[in-house]
Amino acid sequence: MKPSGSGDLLVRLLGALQVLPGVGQRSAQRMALHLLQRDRQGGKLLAEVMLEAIERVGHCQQCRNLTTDEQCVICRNPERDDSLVCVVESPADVMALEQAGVFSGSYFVLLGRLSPLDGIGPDDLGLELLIERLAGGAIRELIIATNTSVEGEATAHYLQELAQPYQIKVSRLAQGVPLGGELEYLDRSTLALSFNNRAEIH
Amino acid sequence: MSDPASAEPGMVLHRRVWRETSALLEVLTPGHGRIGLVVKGYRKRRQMNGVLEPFRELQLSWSGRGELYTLTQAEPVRGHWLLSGQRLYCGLYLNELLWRLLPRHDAQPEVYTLYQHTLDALHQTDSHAATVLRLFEKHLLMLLGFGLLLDYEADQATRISASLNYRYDPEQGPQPTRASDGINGASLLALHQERFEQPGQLADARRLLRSVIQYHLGSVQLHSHRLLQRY
Ligand SMILES: [Zn+2]
Repeated sequence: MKPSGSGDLLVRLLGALQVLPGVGQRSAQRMALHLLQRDRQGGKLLAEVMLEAIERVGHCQQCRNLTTDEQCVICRNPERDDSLVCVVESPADVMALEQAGVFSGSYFVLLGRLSPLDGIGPDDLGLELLIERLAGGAIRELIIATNTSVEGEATAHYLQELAQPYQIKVSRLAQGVPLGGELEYLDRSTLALSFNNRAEIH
Repeated sequence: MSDPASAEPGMVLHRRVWRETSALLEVLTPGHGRIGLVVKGYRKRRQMNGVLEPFRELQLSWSGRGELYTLTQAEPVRGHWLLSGQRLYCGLYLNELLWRLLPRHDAQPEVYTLYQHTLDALHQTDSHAATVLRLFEKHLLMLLGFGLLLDYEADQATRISASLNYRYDPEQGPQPTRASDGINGASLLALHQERFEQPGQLADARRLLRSVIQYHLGSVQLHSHRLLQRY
């Protein structure tokens, strides 16, 4: 028997769902059947929102975080202290720090880290934007919150050298973040502790 | 090809994401040379992942056979080489060189020892990082069978003269040249004796070693050079 048209579409849906991290054949099947059998309305909403997000979410022109606007809500918020800039690797790190509620300054999102062996160099981290902000003279402290992996440390050192000519305070999240520790997986109290005990680096 | 192994010493040279949920480690071992280890379910095994970082010695167990093995266990065995700043960039360069230059599954215990001694030297902040890197490059080439000829000309009979210039052929060795871009004889001898006393000799050694290494890498380009402009 030839596969029918609907059969093909189901196969395509299962394949499409597997682009999500951690979703294999079995979970894709469970999700697809749930949407088709029990919640077609929810499925429709999911598809619409996803399409809109993919079309409209870009990067903040000031901090490179995800946003639909030119500037993200954090950069637009007049209550936030623009003179404190926390540099993180990913939008997930911003979310973790925001949830921990320990920081009221602004961010800079690298969207990666220095990884020389993979050919990811300084040019791939949007640093010209950060240099612009540093040169603008409005930054008083750069808080480096890259992960404690070898690449995160290499990135931290690069940022420190980058900031040197501007004679501002440069600090690094305190020890206590385990080696290889990724910010987004730290619990709130550890995150708060390492943030409040950040140490100036020279 | 070697078989499954347990509690073997090894050091991670590089780690990258592999098929979404796994990681692929390039590992240097004394007994099995450079091997590729797949870490399955990498994201979920955060406890172990902190350990799977470069510059620390591990005890590793793996299963499987063929080109890539599957990591089954990893334990740290001693403190790690805490490199920082420019020294960290130097360490990453060593890793990239070993990753790119060593064939897989070719046991070379001396390379492992050379690597650890070089990390020891980089870890001592009073060491001269550029000298440490040049000697690592020289000795690594030697252990891989690509050793440089530095005290004799390519004919293996005429001694190198400190006052002549040479063109270095990676296969043959040095040949006298009048061209101005040649390498100075005194610089060849300095690298041979591992004593860089005159200004420029270390820079000459860097230029020579880079070109010979590039010759053996073929079309592969090293990236950590970009961070190492000072060394
Ligand atoms: Zn922003």
